[in-house]
Amino acid sequence: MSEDTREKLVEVRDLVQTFNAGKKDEVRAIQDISFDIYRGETLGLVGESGSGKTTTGRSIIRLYDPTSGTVKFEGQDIAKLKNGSKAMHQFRRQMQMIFQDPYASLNPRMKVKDIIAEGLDIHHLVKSEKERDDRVAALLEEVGLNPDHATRYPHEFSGGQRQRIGIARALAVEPEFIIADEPISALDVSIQAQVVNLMKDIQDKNGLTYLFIAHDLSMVKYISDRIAVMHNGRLVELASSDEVYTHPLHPYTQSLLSAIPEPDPDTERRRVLVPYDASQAEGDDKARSMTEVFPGHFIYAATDEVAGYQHAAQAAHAND
Amino acid sequence: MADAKNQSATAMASLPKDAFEPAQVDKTEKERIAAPALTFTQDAMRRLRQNKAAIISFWILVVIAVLAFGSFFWSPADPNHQNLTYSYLPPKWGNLNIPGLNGWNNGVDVYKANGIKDGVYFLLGTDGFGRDMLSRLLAGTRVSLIIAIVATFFDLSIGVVYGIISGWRGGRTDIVMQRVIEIISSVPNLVVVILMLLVFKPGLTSIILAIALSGWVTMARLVRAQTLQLKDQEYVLAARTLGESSVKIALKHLVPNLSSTIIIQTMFTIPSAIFFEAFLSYIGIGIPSPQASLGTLLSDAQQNLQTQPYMLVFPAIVIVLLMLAFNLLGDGLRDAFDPRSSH
Repeated sequence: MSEDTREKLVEVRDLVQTFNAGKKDEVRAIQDISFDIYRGETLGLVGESGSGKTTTGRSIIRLYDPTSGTVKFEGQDIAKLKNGSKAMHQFRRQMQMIFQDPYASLNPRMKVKDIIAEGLDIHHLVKSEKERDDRVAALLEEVGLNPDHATRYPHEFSGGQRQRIGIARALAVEPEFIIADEPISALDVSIQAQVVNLMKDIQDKNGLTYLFIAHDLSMVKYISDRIAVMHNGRLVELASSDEVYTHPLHPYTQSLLSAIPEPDPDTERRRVLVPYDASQAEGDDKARSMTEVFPGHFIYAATDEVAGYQHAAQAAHAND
Repeated sequence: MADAKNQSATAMASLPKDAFEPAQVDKTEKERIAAPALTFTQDAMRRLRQNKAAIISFWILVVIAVLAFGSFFWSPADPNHQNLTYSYLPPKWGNLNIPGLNGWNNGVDVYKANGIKDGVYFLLGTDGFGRDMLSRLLAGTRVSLIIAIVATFFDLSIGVVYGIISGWRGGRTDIVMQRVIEIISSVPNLVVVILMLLVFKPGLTSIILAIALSGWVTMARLVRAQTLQLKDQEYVLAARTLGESSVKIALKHLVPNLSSTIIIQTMFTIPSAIFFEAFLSYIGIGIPSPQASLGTLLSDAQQNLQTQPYMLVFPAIVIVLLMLAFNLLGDGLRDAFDPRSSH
């Protein structure tokens, strides 16, 4: 992977997010993570519940103020943007989010038209009522909904339709980067495929960059170019999606992959669960950091573990 | 058994292939929603209309309000005009001979005994100073309804705004604002009014000030609790990621979703404010005499309960109707706006 040729759209460096710092109920949601997202790619972020995936997404889009560390978007440190400033206003247009729960992400008291046009109004992107209606109709069509539905209320739609309305709302301000926070986990499987394919189509058409947060590993592999694995508020492995799937190096990733059920009953019976012991790979007091053990393949490792991971990576690739 | 099987088999065989056509699934047809678009309010009103008690209460309140405020323009008599010749006349409805409403009291035709001219009668009787009870009752109800409007106004202006700010800002602001509320609500209303009397003359002003000071506290608490829930809703987060300002989020997202809480709480604030005024006037620190209010009417009537019971009955009926109607309508609105919380 020749990384220098690709433009970094988002750079996350040493990001720490602590809630209720210094109090009894302190939560260290994110503990020092760093990664880059290149323009035009989809980075999948996976991990178990409570591993800090959603918090990472929300810190990047400045729903939370990061405790420390920097998040750069197009070279600009967004943690330093002041609320209400012009730069912040501009940033709000460039980065958008698709939410997890299609039932909670649409205001039940607003018409679909007004939900989608909210961003248009805030950023003054349309000049007349007619232009606004036309734009909403075009957006509804873009996400595969009937433009006649603009005057309906969210409760009249199914989960999949609602999620598409949420996507239309995000697209309305023509963002460059979209954080999809488990956009499909609340949908049933047939609708999941529809929504993911829609997201892919829109990405191809508009040249969008995605941060795709999910816990469904097969869906993440399908949509992502690279995958980052999170555990306990830390990144443990980051590589291209094929690499993560075929040659997982970190014991947590190996354990996570071994937990995917197989549709074939014969192979499913032979599936062996790999237990993961966090105290061995992250729990002890060794200083660890993300280290490139194979081109494009990063592992959260201490200096004395690097050699072992490198060896394992080379061995795995030699078998290909 | 075997015959039936054969028959169905021949029936199947006799069906030509071209009798079947693949179903055409029209995508736009699949996405169509046939039901008419109902807004949340329309839906709530539909549920409210099914609640008979609430609807009856609503119309009772409308009638009482029209009569009471109508008395600004037309009243049978001046509520404060005294005429000692008409002292303690029981209710008389023209020449209708309805027991209790025919001018008789304690086995005496009081009108005849006092030598009142024919054609002079009082629908609800008169008090000891000869003041028309109907006019006094209308004037008193008017005071109660003015108190209701004032209480609503402070609930909406101070209570809702205070609650939204406290919940939305959170953190230290919230802690300070909640402590202030606790201090306010820890002082009994009665004490506040008595302290007011040191500065102001007893009357509507001091009651209104007391309500302004502490009547909105419950509303502020409820709105704050609801705002805390709403502000983590994903549609509010979505508005924030779009760059919506806090004021606009409050107006577009919070208030519409708080509306049921607000309407319901208002409906429960009103009767308690009315009762508060009646109570103060009853014990003599509310509306001063000779002005009429439901409380002063009850307190005057209570002294003559054994001899002139009619003086107590009618104000009591009105206050009971007001309380019941507001509470039943409030219940109905709660069920209509918040179907999950009923029962």
